[in-house]
Amino acid sequence: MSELELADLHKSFGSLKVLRGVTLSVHKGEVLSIIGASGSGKSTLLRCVNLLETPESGRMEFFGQSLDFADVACGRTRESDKERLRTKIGMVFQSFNLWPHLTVLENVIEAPVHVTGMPKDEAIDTAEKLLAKVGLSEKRNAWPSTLSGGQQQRVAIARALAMQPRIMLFDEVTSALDPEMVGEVLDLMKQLAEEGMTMLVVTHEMGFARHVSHRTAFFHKGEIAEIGPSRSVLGSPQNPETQQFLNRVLNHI
Amino acid sequence: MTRISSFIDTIWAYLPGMIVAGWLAFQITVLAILLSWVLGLVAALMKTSSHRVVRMPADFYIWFIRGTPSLIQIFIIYFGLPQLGIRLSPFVAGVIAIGLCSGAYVAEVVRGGLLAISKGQWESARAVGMSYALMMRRIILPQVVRVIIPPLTNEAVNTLKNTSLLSAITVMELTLFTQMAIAATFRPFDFYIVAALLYLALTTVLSRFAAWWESKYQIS
Repeated sequence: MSELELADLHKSFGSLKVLRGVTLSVHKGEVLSIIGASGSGKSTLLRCVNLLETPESGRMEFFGQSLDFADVACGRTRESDKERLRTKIGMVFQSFNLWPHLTVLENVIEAPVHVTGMPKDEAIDTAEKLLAKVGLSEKRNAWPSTLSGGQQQRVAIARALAMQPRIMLFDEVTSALDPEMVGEVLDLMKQLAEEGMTMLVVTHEMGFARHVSHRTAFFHKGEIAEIGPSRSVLGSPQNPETQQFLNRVLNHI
Repeated sequence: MTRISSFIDTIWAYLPGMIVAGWLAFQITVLAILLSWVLGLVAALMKTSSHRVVRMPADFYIWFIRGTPSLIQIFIIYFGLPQLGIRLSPFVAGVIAIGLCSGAYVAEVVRGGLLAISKGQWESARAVGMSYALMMRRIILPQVVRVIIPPLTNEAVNTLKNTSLLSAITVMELTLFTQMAIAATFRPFDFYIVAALLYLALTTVLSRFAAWWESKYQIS
């Protein structure tokens, strides 16, 4: 059963073609990593998936609900439909983007209370469980600015989980972290993967891609150049571009 | 000695009237500030829109107000509109004119505040399914308010000082009252100094209030 199906997505910024026909499907409970050089379009793909960017053409199917981007681009998809869809898609950003005027707990309950209308005490209950899960119960009343990068990113994950999304999108979530904090975030993502969360992960962490994700896609110039089980894509890549990329990434001094 | 005692006697006779006039100036200021915030917020949101048709009226408003003298704007509202059949009392015309004028500056202040909020804040709000209105109300504007309190205070003080222009349309505020007292007593120096001190007291009240407001928004 496919949670997410992308068919022939195209996206340009001005004359720059960022996505040149991406077709991809993510199954329920699957973790799919997307790797590739910067500028290859992998982040844009994630942003298209939760409609922060609108592709020019292509189709997307979400939990059986289909979206034709020719319609979206023409404004035929209502803004409120996009918003409803986004509530089911959790997104975690490279730069955390916690809301600095709200405490950690308030960050986590904000969307459930104000977007889905969950009663506040119920939202607090859920939020406390999530904060316990990400190991930050004692920070519930702290301001985001007082937390380390790794802690902020774990709160951001809890905030996304609070909406009970059916799929989680991770956009290079460890790239802005100090090296010693990368582990705590990856461990949490690994735990989510083991619990059966469907995840689409844009990453530079080859270890995570190889050991946690079921499949890995290599992005090159706006297209999927190679996709398959992580072990084979990362262990014995067939495409010469993939081989070159992995050589550059894995063999530095 | 007689100079000083006659100064005190004269001022004393007019002081209650000056205080009432100052209070009127203050009331006009508060109403005009409220109007300018509404106008400024709407204009700033329009100006940051991605649609040209939405941006254009806001651009025109800000361009017109900032490029013309406040006194002319006041005259258009009070003396000009009756020609079109819209007759306003000096007080109402004054509040509207001063509020319209200040709104254009507030719009630029708010727009600056909106631009100061990182794109990531907008995106993370959108990503959890917030509508534009909810995102503005819950995530963006609370952060904007914090950044813009100092420039907004500055603008509020300007608004208060601008009320003295309303003396030209017979609003019996502090400046007009002072001029009438001078006409009756021929003591321009004494009365203008006292008027200045009263304005100073009023602007100080405004700044103090703003400082208290800002302190309420400090995080940790």
